[in-house]
Amino acid sequence: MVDTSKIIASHLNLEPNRAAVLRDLYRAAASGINNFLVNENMLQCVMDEVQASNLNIKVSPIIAFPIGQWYWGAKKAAIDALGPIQNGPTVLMHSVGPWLDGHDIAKEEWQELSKIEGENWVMTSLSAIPNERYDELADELADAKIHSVILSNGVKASGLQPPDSNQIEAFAKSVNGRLRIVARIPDKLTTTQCEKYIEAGADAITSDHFWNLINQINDREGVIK
Amino acid sequence: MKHSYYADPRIQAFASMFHFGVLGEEKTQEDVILEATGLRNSGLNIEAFDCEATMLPAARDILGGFCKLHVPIGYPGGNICLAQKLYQLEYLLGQNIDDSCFCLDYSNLLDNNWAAVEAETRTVMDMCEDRLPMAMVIQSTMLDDRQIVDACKAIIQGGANRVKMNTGYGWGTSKEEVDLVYRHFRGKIDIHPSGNIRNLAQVGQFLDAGVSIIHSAAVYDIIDEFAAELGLNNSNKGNV
Repeated sequence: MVDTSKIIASHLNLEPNRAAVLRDLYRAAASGINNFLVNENMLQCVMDEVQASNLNIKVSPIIAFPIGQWYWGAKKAAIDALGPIQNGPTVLMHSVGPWLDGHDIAKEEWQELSKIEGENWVMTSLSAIPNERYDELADELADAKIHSVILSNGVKASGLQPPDSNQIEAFAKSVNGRLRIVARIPDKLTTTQCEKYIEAGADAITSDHFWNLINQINDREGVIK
Repeated sequence: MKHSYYADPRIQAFASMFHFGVLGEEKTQEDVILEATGLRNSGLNIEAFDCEATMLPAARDILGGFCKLHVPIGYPGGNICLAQKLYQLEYLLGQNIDDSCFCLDYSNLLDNNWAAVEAETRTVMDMCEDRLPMAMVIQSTMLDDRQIVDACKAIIQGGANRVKMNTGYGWGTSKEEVDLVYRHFRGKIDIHPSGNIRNLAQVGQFLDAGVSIIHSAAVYDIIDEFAAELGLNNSNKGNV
C-alpha cells in the first residue's frame, strides 16, 4: 500500500519556475509530506516562503543534480553555500561514472560526505550499475552512514530508464535494511505501479508528480492517509 | 571508423566547426577513451571534444594537442548555485582548459531578470580575463523571441560575445532561433547551436545564419552526408 508518509515531494524540473515550485511547496506542506527536494537555485526562494508562512516541511537542494560528475570540491562549495539556508538533509548527486570506474573521486565523495553532520542522502543511477556491483554500492553507502538513497535522477533526457521492480528487489537485498531506499517515480505513474516498487523493497517514493499520486490515493477507499 | 575521404581538405575544413563528445552521469572513462580514440584515429580535425571535468585527464591523454577540450559549467540545467559554478570555473582555469560554456541560471532568464543575467555573465567574464573562451548558455527552447533577444543583450552587456543556444540534453536549437539572434546581433555575438542537430540540411541552415561552431553528437553522419554531396564517398569510399 502507498500512503502519504512514504511520499517525498520534489520539484526538479530542468526548466525552473518559481511560481510552480512554490505551488508544489504548499501542496506538499498541506499534504503532511515531510521532505521537499528542489534544485539548488530554487532553495532560497523556497526557504523564504517556508519561513514567511511557517510551513512544517524540510527542504533540501540536490547538490550537483542531475549529472553529479564533478570533483568533491565543487559539491562541497555548494554544500557550504546552501547548508546554512536549508532545513532538510544534505542530498548529493552521486558521481556515478567515476564510481563505475573505481576512481578515487568516488571514494573521496563517500569519505567527505560521511564527515558532513546530520542526515545525508544520496541520489544515484541504479540503472547504470550492473547487478553484480549492487553489494559493493550498498556496502559503501552504509559505510558512509547514508540515511537514504534515491535510485534515479528521473531525467528522461539522460536516456536511462528508472530501475524496475526486479532491480529494486535485488538492490534491496544488498542493502538489507541498512538504509532507506527511495524510488524516483516517472511521470504519470499510478499508485498501483508505485505499490509494486514498494513491494519490491522501496521504503519510499519521490516524484515531481506527487500531487497526482496523493489525489489518486485519496480517491481510493481504504488507502486514505 | 576512418574513411579515406577524411583526409580531403574540404572535409577537414567542414569538420573544423564541430564540437562532439561524451557527457552524462553514467559515462565512464572507458566511454571517453573509446570515443576519443575513435576521433583521434579518424584524423578528423574537429573544433573540440566535450567531456565532464572528471574525464578531462583521460581525454587530455588521448586528444591533447589534437583538438580543443571543452568542459561545460553548470551542465545541463544551470540550476546549481553560483558558488558551485564559480568553483567549477576556477578549477577549469587552473587546468588551462581550451574552451567552455556556462549554463546561466535559467530562473533569471524565465523571470526576465536581465540585470541578474548580465551580472552573472559579468562575474564569469571577469574571472576568465580572456584566458578561457566562454559561451553563455541561454536554453533558448524555454524562451520566447523577445526573451532570447533580451538574453543576448544581457550577455553582451555582461562582456561576453558567444551564446550557446541550448545544452542539448533533450533541448534542440531551431533555425528560427538562430535566425532571430543573427538578425538582431549580426557580428556582435557568435551563435553556437546545440541539440538535435542530426543532418547536413540543418547544418546548412545554420551556416547561412553566420554560425561557425556547431555541437552535434551526429558529427560522423553529417560529415558522411557532406562527403556524399561532394561525391567523395561514392567514388573513394573505403575504411582505412
